[in-house]
Amino acid sequence: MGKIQLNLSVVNRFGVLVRISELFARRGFNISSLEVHETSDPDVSEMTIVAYGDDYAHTQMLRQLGKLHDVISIK
Amino acid sequence: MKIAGSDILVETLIEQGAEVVFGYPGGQVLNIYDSLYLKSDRIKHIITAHEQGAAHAADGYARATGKVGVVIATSGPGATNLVTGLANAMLDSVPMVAITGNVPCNLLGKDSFQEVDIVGITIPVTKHNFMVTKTEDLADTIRQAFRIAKSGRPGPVLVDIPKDVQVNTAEYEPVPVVEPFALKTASEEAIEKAAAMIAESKKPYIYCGGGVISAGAEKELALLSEKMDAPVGCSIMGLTALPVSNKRNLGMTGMHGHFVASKAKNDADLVITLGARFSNRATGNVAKFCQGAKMIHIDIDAAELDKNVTVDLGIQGDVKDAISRIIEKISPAFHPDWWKEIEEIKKFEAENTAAQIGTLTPYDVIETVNSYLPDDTPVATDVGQHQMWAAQKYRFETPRTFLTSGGLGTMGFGMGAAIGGCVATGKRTVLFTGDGSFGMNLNEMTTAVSQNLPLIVVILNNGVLGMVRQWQAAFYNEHYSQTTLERKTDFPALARAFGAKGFAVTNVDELHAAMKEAVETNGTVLIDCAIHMDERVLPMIPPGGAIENMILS
Ligand SMILES: Cc1ncc(C[n+]2csc(CCOP(=O)(O)OP(=O)(O)O)c2C)c(N)n1
Ligand SMILES: [Mg+2]
Repeated sequence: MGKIQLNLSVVNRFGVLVRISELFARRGFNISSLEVHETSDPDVSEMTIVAYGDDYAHTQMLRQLGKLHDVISIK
Repeated sequence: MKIAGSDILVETLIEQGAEVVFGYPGGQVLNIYDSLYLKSDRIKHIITAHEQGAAHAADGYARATGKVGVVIATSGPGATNLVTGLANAMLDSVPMVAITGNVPCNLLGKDSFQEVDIVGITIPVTKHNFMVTKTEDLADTIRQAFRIAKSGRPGPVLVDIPKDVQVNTAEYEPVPVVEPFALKTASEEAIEKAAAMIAESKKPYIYCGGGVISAGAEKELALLSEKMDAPVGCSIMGLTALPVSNKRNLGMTGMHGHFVASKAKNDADLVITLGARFSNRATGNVAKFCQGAKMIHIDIDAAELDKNVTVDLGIQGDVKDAISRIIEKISPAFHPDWWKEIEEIKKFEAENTAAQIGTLTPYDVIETVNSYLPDDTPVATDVGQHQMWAAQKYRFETPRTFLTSGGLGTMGFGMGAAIGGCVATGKRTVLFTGDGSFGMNLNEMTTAVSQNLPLIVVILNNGVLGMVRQWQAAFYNEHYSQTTLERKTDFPALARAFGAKGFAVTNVDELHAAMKEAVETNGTVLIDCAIHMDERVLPMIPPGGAIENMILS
């Protein structure tokens, strides 16, 4: 169970946090920490999520998050 | 010119190609219904008996045509009644746009009358959803919703529109129908690898899912199987991608699939999966699934690759494009030995599958009804044994003619879906339902009758929740807990009460007579077919089992 850190750039719209946390909950991934920051662009927020999981979990997190329309990019 | 939000909504629906919408009015969509009234010469609205029926109708409409289905419901209970329909469309990747009204923005969050957070409720069961808070954003949001619904792997999108957004005005300029987002296509390297794996294979197998139909890749599938000389097995969602009359089509695989379709997949040395997600009903025990085979999986949704089954070559991309490019790279192959093996399995299946027991057997019903209907007939089902019998036995020849709830397994889907399919195609439509499932949404008989739809409702009436009963018989010591219905409903009389024709049949001759009249009837007909309560769906791979556990008799 490795540590997984995901840096997301997301649309700054109400409900974004729910969409992302709901995805983790639904897929059975536990979030260890989560931070949301403003950026210089008022339409965009940055999110840092830390979770624990194996390679399978990591890949699924990236690919499932990639399908959310409010997620602009993932690092 | 500035127009009201409700007019913008309806104009945008028309602009985006919605000819028919399904729905149910209420307090928070009164403005929308007023606009629909005024524009009724340009867009048709069909009122159902229940919002769930409307959602399933929009879904059936979309399945039958590939177009985006549209459903409208009021806030609160109207909106929550859509939830099952959305989940159903989500799990089967059906393009749909659901419009809900909500209380005015200043009343949101106050637990106002008929206020629910439908956006929050439907996050897990939609591809995406929106709440529109400014009338200026409305037209573009609706366009986005259509775009998302039909792009890539399709799915349902909900747009929640508070009442003041419908009332306030904004500028509206029509735009052309939005194009889907550009599809990802497979890399050249991946296509070459796939072609190389195909060239090495002696016992290839193509496993076809619903993605082939979504992608419109039915012709490419047929060409690929021909050039590879490979059998094709389908998930329930993949049925209709290849005509039953195609000699390489082995039919449905999985828990209740044909033995030959599952066994050949198990014995193959290469399995190419196209647009399928390896649901547990399709795979059984994943650890034992296709152990001896190399696996290629092509899907537009990258998240499906290695999600349920780990494969040797996962390819993200449009299946239509990928198959065409693979076809160009491979030389024609012939696998007579492999086909001999497959024929042996077919023979074994035919000789060892237990016969059905009643006077009028389930297969009699499916085959007799089938014999009266042209190949392009939309065939809807509900959920249970009758659904599996239809999936196994109906001779599907035309893509998009099977409207069934594959992923969610929604009892009550059938009536709405059949209505949607019938409205969409204008063709006589058949619904195979069960006595249990029909009970869930039989209210929609009112819709079929008021629309004068040429719909034939065939009830495979075993007097029980047969599918559950079958499990109770096999795994729960025949404890038939709450599955023996002992209802006294007179279905033909009920049909007549709704304004439809109704027949009850107990043998094949009576069914022939009823079908003869049904296909001559300009309207809705119900045929109640008495079948034996102990009929089983066979073959069956027990849950979590593998091919060697398959029960044939
Ligand atoms: C909404 C819903 N509730 C419960 C179930 C569980 N379930 C699956 S099949 C089935 C029995 C269906 O009975 P019927 O419609 O009579 O069909 P049969 O199996 O007898 O052909 C039930 C209860 C379901 N799939 N959907
Ligand atoms: Mg039944």
